[in-house]
Formats: sequence, structure tokens, C-alpha cells
Amino acid sequence: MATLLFWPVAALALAGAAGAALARNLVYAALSLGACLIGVAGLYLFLQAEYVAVIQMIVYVGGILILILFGVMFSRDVLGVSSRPTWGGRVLAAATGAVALACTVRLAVLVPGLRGTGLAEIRSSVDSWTGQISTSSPFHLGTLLLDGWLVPFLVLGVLLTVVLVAALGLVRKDAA
Amino acid sequence: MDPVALSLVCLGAPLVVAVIGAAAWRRVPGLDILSIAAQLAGTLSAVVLAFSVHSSTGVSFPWLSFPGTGIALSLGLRLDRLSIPMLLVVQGLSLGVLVFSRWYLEGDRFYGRFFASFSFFVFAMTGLVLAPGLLQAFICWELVGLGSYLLIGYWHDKPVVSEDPRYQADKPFFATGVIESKLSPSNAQFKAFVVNRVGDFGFLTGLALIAWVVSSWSGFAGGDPLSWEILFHAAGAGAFYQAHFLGLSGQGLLTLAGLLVFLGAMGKSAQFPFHIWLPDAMQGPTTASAIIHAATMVAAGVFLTARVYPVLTPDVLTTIEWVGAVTAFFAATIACVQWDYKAVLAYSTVSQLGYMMLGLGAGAQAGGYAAGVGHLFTHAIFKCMLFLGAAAVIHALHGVQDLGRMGGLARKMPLTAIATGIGTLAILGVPGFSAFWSKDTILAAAHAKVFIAEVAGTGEWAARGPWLLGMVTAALTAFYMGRQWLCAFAGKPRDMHLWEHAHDPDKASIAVILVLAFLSLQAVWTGSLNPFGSGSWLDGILRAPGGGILGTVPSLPESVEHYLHVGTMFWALPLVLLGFAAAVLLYVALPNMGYRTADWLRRDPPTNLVWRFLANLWFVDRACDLLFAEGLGRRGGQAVASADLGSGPSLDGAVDGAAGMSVAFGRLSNLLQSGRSQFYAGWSLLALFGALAIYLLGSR
Amino acid sequence: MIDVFLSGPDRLLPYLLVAAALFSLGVVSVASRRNAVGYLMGIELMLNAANLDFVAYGRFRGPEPAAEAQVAALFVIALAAAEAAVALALVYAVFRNFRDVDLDKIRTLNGD
Repeated sequence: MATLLFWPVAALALAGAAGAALARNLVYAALSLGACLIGVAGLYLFLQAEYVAVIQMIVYVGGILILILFGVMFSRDVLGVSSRPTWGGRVLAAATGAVALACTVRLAVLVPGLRGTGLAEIRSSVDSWTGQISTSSPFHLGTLLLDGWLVPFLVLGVLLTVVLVAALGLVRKDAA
Repeated sequence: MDPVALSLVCLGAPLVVAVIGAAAWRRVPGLDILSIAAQLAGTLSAVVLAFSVHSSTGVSFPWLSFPGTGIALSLGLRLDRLSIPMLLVVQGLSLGVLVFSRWYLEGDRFYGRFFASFSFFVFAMTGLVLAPGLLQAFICWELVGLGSYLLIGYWHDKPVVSEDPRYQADKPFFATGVIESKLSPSNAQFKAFVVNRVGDFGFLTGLALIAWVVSSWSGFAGGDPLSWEILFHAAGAGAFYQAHFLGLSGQGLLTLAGLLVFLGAMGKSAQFPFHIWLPDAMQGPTTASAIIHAATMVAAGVFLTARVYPVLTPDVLTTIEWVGAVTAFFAATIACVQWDYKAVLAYSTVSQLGYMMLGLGAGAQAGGYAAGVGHLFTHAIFKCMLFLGAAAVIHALHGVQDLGRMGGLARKMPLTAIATGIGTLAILGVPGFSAFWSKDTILAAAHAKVFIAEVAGTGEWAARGPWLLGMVTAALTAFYMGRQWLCAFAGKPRDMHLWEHAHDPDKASIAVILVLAFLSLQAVWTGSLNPFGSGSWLDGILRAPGGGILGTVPSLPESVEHYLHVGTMFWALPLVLLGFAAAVLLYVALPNMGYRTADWLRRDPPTNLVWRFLANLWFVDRACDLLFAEGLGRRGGQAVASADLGSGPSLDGAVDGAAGMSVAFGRLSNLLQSGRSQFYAGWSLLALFGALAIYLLGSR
Repeated sequence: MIDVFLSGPDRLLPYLLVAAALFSLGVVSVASRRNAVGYLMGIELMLNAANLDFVAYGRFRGPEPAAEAQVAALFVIALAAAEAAVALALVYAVFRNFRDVDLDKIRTLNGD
């Protein structure tokens, strides 16, 4: 059952990404990006990262995507600037993508230990597994954030404040 | 007859003509007859030598002695199973080309000088072929370069083509890749000389290294450390393991020496990226190109590699194989978009030279030595003939070299068409013609090297690349050579006025072309009428040389060889047919569709990028022009020319020159600063992932 | 080996392949989009791909998912939000100056 659902969700993420990258009309591109983000949130669910999935929906889809849509709308360039694609850039991107794919496959397939890694094998290799997923519940995530990763957490807070001020500073009208 | 005397005839007769010509070419009336007579003597001597000399022989005399060290560098003659056939090829082809040139250059303003320069060239080439050691090889190597210089710059008073009204009127519509403001016979001769010089720097360094290593070896008993016997003997007995240089010893030192000497071969034989002089050399007379850029001088690099074969380590051989494969592929792709008759032949030569290096690099056990040297001989003959055919066509069309204005010439020049047709079929590697035997053997050798590598368990991917490139190039060769012949001789004439006046060359010239065409048939080389046989009476000659680090070379089992040969044929022939069929389709059968297809390929992305890349010769010429001609040459030249002091270099000029060089390099790197964010981001990401990939692929 | 490629959510490789594809599409956007906002969408795609990689590797390192990987993913999401905000503010400022968001036309840093 999980397998049946997995491929459509992955396909949604991929199709959304393709739309975001290749669509000429920017509104379509932004909405495709939204679909992609939702698909990625679904993939997080498959990876037992429910909290991350929810945050992804709230922050990415509900925040960043709205920002991007704002940006598209006010730039008044909904239809895309010109109809000629930048083939040079796409060739470059294809090359980079191919290299990235090669690196990924090399790491995932050839590194020993990851190749045969499936949940069934992993679970059967641990005697004391009780069948409950507990190490990534929000409780544990919160504990991590405020315990081991406290400093980055606080720095993140500072950063967000700085970003807020900076963004305001960037958009105010210059005084002469 | 005494072989030494005969060889001296081969050497001396052209030299005499050259000296007479150098002194008085304007006044002596019969220089052409004189050079032909000298060449006749040379050819006859070579034939007699070929039949009478049955074992290696030679003579040498010490020329430069260094008392106290026992080193006595020598000059002389060496006749063995590699030099005698090469001598025959050089002398015989020169005779044919000289006879042809009488008709081709008739009435030219510099008529006598051609024959004088040509004879000088033959003298130098013969000296190179008969060299008993690396020293004479190097000396004659440079002299050959001088001969080529003289011949390329034959019409030295011709202006740059951007200012030549005849060129501008006749140039092809797609004169691809020509930097018009810089192309002239005098620039081309200079370019050839300078590019060769770069390679020669490597050659000389390697030569010095070898001389030092061999002479400081404990078993060196005096004599010429650069002579073939002493060198191979020393290498085989471990001389390179006793020396230390730059932290290298043994195999590493041998590899270094081999690579340095190969650098010289790369320059002479127009391997990538030293090929840039060869297409420009088409500024010289076509008959000069027939001998120099088809048959002999460019073959000198291959010849040298074959000569030093016993000291080439497996690493050097793999490098040679790759360089050859890349060159072959690269030149073939460019030839596909050339519309100048001679340009197609020039790039074809570069490509075939790449094939020869591919063959040699495949290794002695894989049969590569025999393959490469065999192709050297067959290619010399049919390429010479193809160039003479080109000369006939160009002469018939009053100097027009544009394929787009030819067509249907077979009806007006039937004998030329038949001969060049045979040559084209030969270069395609069609069974029944000479290069089927030699080219297929090269591909089979490359395949055998893969097989050997698989058995040995190492280096198989390094061996697969050249083989794949060789196969693809075979298809490309079929396409562009077929395209050339079809555009020129088949189909409907595209320019009726030119077509009307076309005619075959005079009897002597056409006889030369037909003789060469006959020699391009496979039967001559294999000795049998079976087009699929793979043996040759040359096999005894082409056995890999023993000695040096090669020792004795074990050969592959007969069944394996047969299997690989048949397998290669199985793949190569369909590729060749495919390429040729594409040419027929585009240019003869459906010419309108062909033009529309070609137009579409040229205009619209993404294929127009490919076309622009090929049409600009992969930008190698432009890069070299920017970096060296402009950057180092012009700006660097300013460093030694100054207006202040009037003579000699000055500080001011030096500073100016240095500044100018920086500016030129800066302009080149400026291309990276386009200001476009996408460009920056895209390239940075590619570089980042490329680095990651290299790290990942290199670990474990 | 093909079964490893095609298997479902129980194996690591499909997630990595999706992430690689997302990344490549992000690079396509970044390398070829003329509009600045389209360019930013590419950046977001790349960040998502990296996040997916993080969480996937975290999931498969043992019988239970690693919380550290998810914390890292959370940080990345927060940073992506911050970066998107700043980037869009920048785009707005650029737009005010050049009256256009066509990256091909905004080339004043051109080296010539």
C-alpha cells in the first residue's frame, strides 16, 4: 500500500519541479513549485519525518511560495520575458545535473552498507526493536533543539531578526 | 650493387638539384627535368635496394666526439625493414608528384624554385628515413621543417586572403573557420614552422635526456648513445633504472623520455592540439601538399614513433593511442562542415594521422605496430593521389576550390573521377581497397588492446575509449569523404560555366594519378584477390621490432586474432555504409532536402551550437591566435621592439610588452565576466560538482 | 541492480534519485531563467533537494530515523525562508532601480 502511494507522490514532486524550471508562464511555474513542495512534504511523511513535513507545508508552501507569488505578480512579467530559451544555460544545467546524478549514484550504490539498505533488513538486524518509532517525535526534536543544538537555534533566531530588519532596509525608499 | 652507394644516390641526387636550384633557379632553364631525372635515379635505387637488401645493414661515421666520455655522435645510413619501404614510398611518390607538377605549375612565376625546394625536401626526408640514430633524425627533422616552410610559402608575395580579390571572389559560401585577416602563404609557412618548433622542443629535450641516461649507464662502452642499436640495447638492459632525474627512475624516466620524443611527433604529424598548421598549409601549391601534407612529412612523426617503438612504455603507448583517437575524431567532425575541397583533404589527413597513432598506441601484442605502419604506407599513396586529383580539379576549374560550385565533373573528367573515386573508397575502408586492410587492422588492434586489458584485469576503460572513437570516426570519414567526392563529381553541375571548361589533366599527369590509384587497390597489398583476407606480403616487414623494453613480443592466439578481426569488420562496415549513405542522401539523391536539412541544422538551436562549434574548428585556432599570436607574439614582440632607443630591447619596451601581454590574457579571461548571474551560477555549480565528482571517482 | 532503482519507499536510492532530479531542475532554473523570481525558484528547488537528501540519509542509518537529520532539515527550511525574504527584497530593490527583472539586461557587473 505504501509502495502504491509512493510513486505518485514522487512523481508529483518531480513534475512540479519540472514545471517550476521549464514553464514559460511564471504563475504556472510558481504553482508548480507549490505542487513540488507538497510532493516533497509527502516524501517526508514516507521518511517518518512528520514534523518536518508539517513545517514544510507551513513555512514553504504557506510562506515562501506566497512570497514568490507576490514577487511574480508585482514584477508584472507573468508571461516570461522572452520566448527564446537560453540553450547554453540549459546545456550547462544538464551537464551539472548529469554530474550530480553520477555523484549521487556513486555514493548511494557503491558505498558499502547503503546499497542493500532497506527497512526490513535494518529492522531485522536489531533484536530489541519494539516496533514503535519514537526517536524523531516532536518531543525528541524539541529536546534536541533546546539541548544539543541550542546555540544554532538561538543564532537562527538572531538571524531571522536580522533578516527582517535587512529586508525592511532594502525596500525603504532611499533618502536622496 | 653496394647498398650504401645506392642510398647515397637517393640522398645525393636531390641534394645536387637543390643546391643548383638554390644558387640559380631563375637562370637555369631545365630544373624541372633535372629534378625528375634525379628522382628517377633515386626511385630506381630504392627499388633495387628493396629487392637486394635482406638484412639490416648500415654505415655510420662519428661526427661529434666528446673525448674523455667515449661519446661519439654519428651520422650515417641505416637500411632495415622499416627504412627501406619508407624510402621507396618517399622516392616513388616524389617522382610522381614532380611529373605532375610540370603540368600543374606550368607558367608559374616561381616555377624553378618549386623544383629546387622540392628536391631539398626530398633530400631532408631521405636523410630522416635513413637516419642511424636520433641525432641525424633530429637534424633532418628540422631540415624537413625547412623544406616544408619553403614549399608552403611558395607564393610568398600573395597578400592576406582578406585582401586578396581572387580569394574573396572564389571563396566558399561557408568558408568555415578561416581567420581571413591572418591567412596568407607567408603567415602559413611561419605558423607551420613555429608550431613544429614547439614540438621540437620536446623532441630535443627528450633526445638530451636519452643521451645522458644512456651515456651514463654502466654498460655503455663508447659510441653513439643515440643510435638505434645502442639505445635499444641499453634500454633493454636497464639503463634507465640506473639514472635518476627529477625524482623519476626506471619506468617513470622511460615514460618521460618517450612522451618528450612523442611531443615532437605530435608537432610534425599534426596531432591535436598541434594540428593548427596543417589546414593553413593549404596556402601552398596543391602538389606540395600532396607530398608533404599527405604522404611524407606528416608521416615523419609516425615514422619516428615507429622507430623508437622498443623504448615506449605502456603508459606512453596509451597516451599515444588516446591522442591519436581524439585527433582522428576531432578532425573528422570538422571535415564534415568544410566546403573547400582542399580543407576537407587537410582535415582528413589530420584524422588519418590520428588513426595511425591510434594503431601504434595499441601495442605490439595487439598488432598495433603493424597496423599503424601499414596504414602509413597505404595512406601515403592514396592521399597523395587524392591531393593530385584535387590539383587536377582545381586546375580544371581555374582555381576554384568551392565544393558548392562543383558537381557533375565525372562526365568531363572521367579518369580523374575514377581515380579519386578509388581513393575515396580506399579511405572509407571498403573491402577491395588498400585501406580496408590497413584501417580495419588498426581498429582490430584497438579492439585487441581492450581484450588484452580485460584479460590482464587493468586499463580496459582506458582502452575502450580509443576504440569507440575510432569506430565513430570511421562513420564520419565515410560521410565527409563521400560528401566531397559526390559534391564534386556526381550529381548536377552547380556552375555551368565552370563545368563547361573542365577537362582531365595531360597524359603524364593522368598516368601518375592512375598508377597511384592502381596501388590503392587491396590486391596490391595483400597479394590476393580475396577482399576479406587479412594477411599481406608486408607482414614480414611489419613485424614489431624486438629489443629494447619490448624484448620479444608474444602474439595473440590465431583464433583470438581472427575473432577480433571479424568482429571489427562486422561493426565497421555498417558504420561506413551508414556514413556514405548519409552523404549520398543529403547531397545526391535528395539534394533539395539535403540543403534544407543542412540549413535547418545550421540555424536553429540546439544543432546550430554544434555547427558553430565545428565551423569554428572547435575554437582551437582562435584560442591559439588569441593566446599566442596576439598575446605572446604581438605584445611580447613589443618587448623587444622599442621606439625609444632605436635598436635593441629597452626597459620601456619590455614594460610595455609585459603590460600588453597581461592585457591580452586579461581579455581572454574577461569572457568569464559576462555579468550574467545565470552564467556565474551555472558554471560555479558545474565546477563544484565536477570537483566533487573527481574526488568521488578518484577515491576507492 | 535495477531492482534497487525501482523499489519503493523502503529503500534509500529512490529518495536520492528524486533529490538529484530536483537539484538538476533547480540548476536548470538558475542557469537559464531570465526572470529573477524564476531564478529564485531554482534556488528553492535546490534547497529542497538537499533537505530531502538529509532526511533520507537520516532515515536509513538505523532502525529508527535520526532526529539530528530532521533538525538539520528544519534549520534549512528556516534559513530558506530567511533567504527567500532577503532575495525578494533585493529583487524589489533591483526592480525599482532598473525597472526590469530581466537578468540578461541587468549586467552592469560585466567585465568589459
